[in-house]
Amino acid sequence: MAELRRAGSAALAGLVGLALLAGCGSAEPSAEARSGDPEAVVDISGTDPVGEMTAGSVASLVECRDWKEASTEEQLATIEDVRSQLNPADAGIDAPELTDEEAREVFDSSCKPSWASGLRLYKLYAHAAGFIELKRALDDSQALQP
Amino acid sequence: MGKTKRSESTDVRTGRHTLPLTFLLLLVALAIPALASAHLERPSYWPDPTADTSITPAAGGKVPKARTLRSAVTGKGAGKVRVVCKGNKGRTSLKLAKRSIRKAHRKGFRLRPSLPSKKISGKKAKQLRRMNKKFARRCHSHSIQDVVDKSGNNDRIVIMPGRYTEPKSRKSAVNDPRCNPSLLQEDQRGALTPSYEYQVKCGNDQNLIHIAGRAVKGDPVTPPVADRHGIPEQELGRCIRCNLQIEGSGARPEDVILDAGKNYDNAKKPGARPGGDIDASACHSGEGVDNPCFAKHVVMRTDRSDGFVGRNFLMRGAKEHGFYTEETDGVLLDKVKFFWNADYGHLSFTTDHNVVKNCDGFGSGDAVVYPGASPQTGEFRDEGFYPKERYNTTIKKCDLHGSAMGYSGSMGNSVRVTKNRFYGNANGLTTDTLSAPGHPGFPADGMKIDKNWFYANNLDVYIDDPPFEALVPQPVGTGFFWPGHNNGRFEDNWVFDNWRQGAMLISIPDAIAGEAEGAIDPDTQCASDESGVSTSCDNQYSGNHMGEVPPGFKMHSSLKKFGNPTTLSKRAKTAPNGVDFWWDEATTNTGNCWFDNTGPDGTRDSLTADPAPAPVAGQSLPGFLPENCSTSIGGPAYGGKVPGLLACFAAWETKELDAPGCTWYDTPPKPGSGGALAAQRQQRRAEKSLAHSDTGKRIEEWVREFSGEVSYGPHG
Repeated sequence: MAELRRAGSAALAGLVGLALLAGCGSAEPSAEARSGDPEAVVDISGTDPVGEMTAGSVASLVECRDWKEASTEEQLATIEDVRSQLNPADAGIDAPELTDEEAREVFDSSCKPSWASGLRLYKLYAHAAGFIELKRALDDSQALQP
Repeated sequence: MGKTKRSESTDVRTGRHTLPLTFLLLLVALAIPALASAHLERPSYWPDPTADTSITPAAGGKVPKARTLRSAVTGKGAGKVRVVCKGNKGRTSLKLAKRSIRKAHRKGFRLRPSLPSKKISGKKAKQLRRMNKKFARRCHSHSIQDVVDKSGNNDRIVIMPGRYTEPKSRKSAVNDPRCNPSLLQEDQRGALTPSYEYQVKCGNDQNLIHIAGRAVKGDPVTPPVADRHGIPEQELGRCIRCNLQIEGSGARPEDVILDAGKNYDNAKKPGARPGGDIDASACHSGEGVDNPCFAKHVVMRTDRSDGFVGRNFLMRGAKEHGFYTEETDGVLLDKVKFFWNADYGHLSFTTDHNVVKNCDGFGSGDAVVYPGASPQTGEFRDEGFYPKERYNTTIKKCDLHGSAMGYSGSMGNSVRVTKNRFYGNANGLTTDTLSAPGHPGFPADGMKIDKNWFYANNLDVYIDDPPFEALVPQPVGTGFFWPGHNNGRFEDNWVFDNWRQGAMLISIPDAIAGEAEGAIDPDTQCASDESGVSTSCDNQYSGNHMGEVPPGFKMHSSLKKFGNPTTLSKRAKTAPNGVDFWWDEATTNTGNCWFDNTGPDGTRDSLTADPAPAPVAGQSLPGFLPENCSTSIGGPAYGGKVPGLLACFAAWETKELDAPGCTWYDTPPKPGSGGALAAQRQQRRAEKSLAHSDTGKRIEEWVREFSGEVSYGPHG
């Protein structure tokens, strides 16, 4: 299983690494403020996402308890796995994606209560994505406040 | 499993946020909805809804009709009958059958916990005994999977009473190297999912029992076809197990247990909990054989199995789902139970002509039933593919209880939910418009929810030592809500004793974009000229009894399962909800209306709502709950409500789900109590203040800008 996990994640991690090096994940932020500090780029090539891997992805089963124990690199790899499952590239429809920073904010805050260990990250991601455009608009307008 | 809860919000409450919006958010004690959930799967297609006439009788094209148990004895009709049993020559099963039949005849049994106990007649008992004797003589297998593998089109499998753990399936490797990674499908981005061929070749990788309805033909189309109407010819194999019927031969569903769980205190007890008394959190640790509670991810999966009938058995103890069907045309589940499945009890995905009835389930961290990505057979269907507008899925006469939700489903188009009882959940029913990619059918529309009872959904599952772990945040104390549905009907339901709210509706501003194709409606009921705000329009709530206990209601022990709080008692005539109706008043949403509903005293006057019911019946007045569908539109109060949605829903601002601004994760105070009234007053003050603040105004401006020009009334 370990071999499979490596095989499954190698392609993903490579892709993620490239995407991150190209500019902080593959999601498209709506404002410069969200584009991330270039200094903060993390190379996650070769890093496995956390959580139970089933059939090539952890997205179905990864939970808050996994998230809380993960390193920064593992968290980023996990975000990319979840995002790739919820925002497939070829579904013929585009839904908002969370940037790495946004996803981290959601997972960090949602997973904080002690009772939240079993919350599934992809469900949290889907919830948050439903309101992300509104959230960004509010952030942008607040940033413009004197 | 006591009710303890630790909040870790102290650091967040002090000084971390200084923006005005955040300050206001912390004051908001809102009754806010959660969005249901989603589900991850291979790129899926809605099956061709016409019958497959390559076999006789044809498969699909309609909801299959169950064949009688007696016909399995006589062997009349198409297909072979195979019997699965326990014990040498079925002796153990026969003993169990006789015992159960005797009990059902003498003492009776409850098909669903909220129904009265019913006895079977002497004649029926005799028939059942006789049939089981004959089945025992014909039994040659102890493994359901072995018998499934031998079965072909039109065949039948009779399962005699007993607990079936399928040892051979349990030994099958998860992530089986025969299939993983070679049979994973990859999209352009590199996301991996198991293909249909994966499920066929390695059927027990994830599933205790796997039923492949069709042969593997070719490779999946890559990238997947954007129009999801019809499984591509390239990969649609011939029927090999269509019209299969699997049926328990006991007196009641619990007599046949299909079990993916382990380490029970007493596995023979149908309601036994996987893992025994260990903490629910421990059930989420360890993979495969190391998991102390679950041996498999799914109890029974039927894939492209057109014309499938499952009847009279219990599916228990899956790490994910009890029953799971995908890309199937024609499924009937009758008298089935879903206990202790960690995610969904039942899950149907991209499935047509789909009926689940007389079911019962509890112990799910998401929902007991989940009909997701159901076909687009509603108002804006592709008429070449679906000539008639119709409901494609029906959930009826089920008890859906003791879970985070009784029902959830993303993109649940044209589903009918009728005559069910939702009780003792955190939230009774939620069906959302989320996860559009991968969930064809955006935006969800055309549901009808009628003649159900939604009561006492007050179960707090967000505690440190719950009976099962909640997988998704939900507002405790909610009967029903639609986040993002269009053109729905909520009619003639009885909704009572839900301490936060009876029924609620919100818009999802999810900014979906895409072509008018299978994955998206060519049009939506919302009157926006862009696709930005395209959810939550044309929903009608009528003829509902709110806060009133229906005639014939009887108390039952499962109502208080897991410590669910309720005000209901033997003689109660009324049981108010926290508030009967809650609407976010999304500024540009049109056509939503609430009419001919009554409150606890049986009249309109006693209804409670946010916004408040209008002073005059039948009208849609600004600032009040609309009653005239053709003139209904949202209003400025949205600006006061949406920050609460943001804060509680995804912790965007508060950084803490359990922060003071969010009250979802506790059972609310009892309606009418001092605590409840104070919370309501506080909430309204905060909403009002927010609506008039700069933040509220900015939100409203954004919504208007985002959604473009809006025409007044449904359909613009």
